[in-house]
Amino acid sequence: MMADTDDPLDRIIAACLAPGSIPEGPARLLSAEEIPVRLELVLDAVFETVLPRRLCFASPTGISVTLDVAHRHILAAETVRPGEGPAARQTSVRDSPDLLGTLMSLVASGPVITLTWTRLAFPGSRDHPGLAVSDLRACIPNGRSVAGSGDDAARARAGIPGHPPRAALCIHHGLVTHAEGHDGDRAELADQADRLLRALPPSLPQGQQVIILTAADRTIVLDQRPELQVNMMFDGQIGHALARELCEPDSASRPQEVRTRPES
Amino acid sequence: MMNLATQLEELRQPFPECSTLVLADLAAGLVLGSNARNLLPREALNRLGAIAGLLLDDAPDARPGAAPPIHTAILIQGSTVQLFVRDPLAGDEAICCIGRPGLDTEGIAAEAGRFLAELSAGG
Repeated sequence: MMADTDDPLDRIIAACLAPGSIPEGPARLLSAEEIPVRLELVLDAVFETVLPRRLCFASPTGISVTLDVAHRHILAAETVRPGEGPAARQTSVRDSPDLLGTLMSLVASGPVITLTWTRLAFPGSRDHPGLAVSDLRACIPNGRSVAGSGDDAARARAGIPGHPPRAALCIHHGLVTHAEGHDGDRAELADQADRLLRALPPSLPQGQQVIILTAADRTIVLDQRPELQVNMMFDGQIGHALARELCEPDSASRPQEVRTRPES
Repeated sequence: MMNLATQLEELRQPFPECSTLVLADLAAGLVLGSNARNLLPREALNRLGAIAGLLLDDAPDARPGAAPPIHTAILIQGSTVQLFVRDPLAGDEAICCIGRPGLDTEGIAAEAGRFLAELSAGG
């Protein structure tokens, strides 16, 4: 069990998974006395980790907490209604414009966990209206080796041959293991992926799924498999060319190796 | 004036890999009409409309600097290809297409865009 490990991050995960870790009821600010016991365990585990500065984590269905780790102080804790997680997380960060340095984002929702331990530097974040905790999830993790991260780095940098990605995220079991691109691009990609993955999984089969989204001047590719997601954002509209290649029966299972033709 | 089902059939016929076409209202979450080579259950059509709303984001962020709206989405699952095209003008309606590998997504997206634009213009 993860709870038996000495790894503080695993203990945080275990505590978040435990029943009662997320309070019930309507969205509202929580007083320190109302912090559930299980959440206290989470916070203790967080405080025991060697994380400087502040930390913010949230659940899309339960609670959003912003912590000053250095001073063992809860900056804000509030319950979050289902579907309001992103907004709550945005508020948490927007209200803490000095939230720079090393941060960790931990999102627990039932059996689904998203955890990112990351070093951030968001110059100008005070004026960045779109800054959200999903930004944290889009950043390069540090201090924790993740199996396969080297492959992820290569995959994220390569994108699709001939089309280096503007931004890329590799995610194993909900953990961002590698990221490429500028903050804003990664945030946009993370937001799109987050939005879709929160709503899509219940209806998905276990096999690979590729979603290609085309906006006016960019293409977003979400390649999802049971244990791995590779999300990429490209300049221009290459979606149809990509789909042509992906839809060929013999190439349907290897999207990272496709070649795209120029868009007509 | 042709009814909607006939219009959708005309839109689908040039694309042999396309088995089903659905016109969906993204804002209302409604399937407005459909045409299929083999009839699909209503639930399947409704699910297609719901996925369209999700992929094309039926409540796009209008704030300055927000990500641009998605106008085309392609979903590939094994040997099934689904294409979703948002109305380029009004933005609330979309064409959803189910097809198989080889589907000319670019061609049908262009035709669907024209179809939706004409529909919005009252054509």
